[in-house]
Amino acid sequence: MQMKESDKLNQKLTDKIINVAYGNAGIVDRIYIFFKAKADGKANSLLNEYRNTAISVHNLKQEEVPDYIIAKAKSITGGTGQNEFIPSHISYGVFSFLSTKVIPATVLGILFIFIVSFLILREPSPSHKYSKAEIELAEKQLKLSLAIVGKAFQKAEKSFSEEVLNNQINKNLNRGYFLVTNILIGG
Amino acid sequence: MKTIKTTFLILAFLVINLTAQSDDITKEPGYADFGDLTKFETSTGVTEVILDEDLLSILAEISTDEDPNVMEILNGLKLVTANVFEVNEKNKSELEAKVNSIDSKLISSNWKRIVRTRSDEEIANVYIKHNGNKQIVGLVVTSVGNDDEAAFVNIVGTIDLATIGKLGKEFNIPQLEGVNHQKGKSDEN
Repeated sequence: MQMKESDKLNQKLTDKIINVAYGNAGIVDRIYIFFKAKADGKANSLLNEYRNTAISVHNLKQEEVPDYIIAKAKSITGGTGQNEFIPSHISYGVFSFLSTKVIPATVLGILFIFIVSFLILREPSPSHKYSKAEIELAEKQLKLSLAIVGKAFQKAEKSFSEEVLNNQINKNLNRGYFLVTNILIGG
Repeated sequence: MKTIKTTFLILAFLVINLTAQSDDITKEPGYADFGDLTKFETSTGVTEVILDEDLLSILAEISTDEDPNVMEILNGLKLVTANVFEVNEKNKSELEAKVNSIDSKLISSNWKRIVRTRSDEEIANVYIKHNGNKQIVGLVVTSVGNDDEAAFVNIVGTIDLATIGKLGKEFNIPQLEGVNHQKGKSDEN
């Protein structure tokens, strides 16, 4: 039978709450659940419930397994050979340590070295050596480019002084002067 | 484990981001893409200038003694491009259309037009681009003159407009003739 969409969502939310409660969730999920728990009382009580369970689970003390159970387990699984030399709790400890700490740390270390060396190598490489002729040409070309810019500014200045200052402002000033002298004062 | 995965993803993202940023001048805010100008290269008078940061820094070094103003300008620049074409009856309307299309493109990309002169004889537009700190980080000049040259200039980098204007006036336009039919060093590489 297919699961309903809302059931799937609830299941996802519950999984996230469990992960947060047990301290296995990522930062994004933690933030998400934090706000969800604030907004939703049901989610909050569920989170508290799982948190309490998690605390109880973490507080459980490790108990020694009686020898006869180990012997029985070995007889069922045929546990001989290398396990004889490495006690199971030690090999489990070593492998879990390697998988949770050493390997990710090594990967991060390699990545860190890669980034640092990348940044160092990314520094501008020594400039290509240009010949005197090339530099002279570049200087000429730079002056050309700046000259084009200067020419555009000059055009703007010219049209401003000729068309705006001379034609528009002067024309209006003259018209105003004509009005004052001829019409208002009377000539 | 999830924290390690997240850290790994963040670091990977940083590496990708740094790689993508590396020396791509087209990603600079002051860079203007004029599109395809090759169709105007059929005319006889064509000048193309492409001066990259390397070359500009060398020019800055050698110009220290001659003119401190040049040094001041060049230090902040990352790219100077100029495309100059001879205007004739055949290509004039096309060049004007190009100037107009660049105008709309730049205005829509938050470039500020500071000069716009338009007469029967010529069109000249100057645009600037600011960054978040109100610094000018790009300058574009487009112009088409009657029986003259059409020019498309883009200067990328921190720009002091007053000094550039002053220097531009110092370098007389007849020098245009001196560099015709030559291409910039970076273009040849």
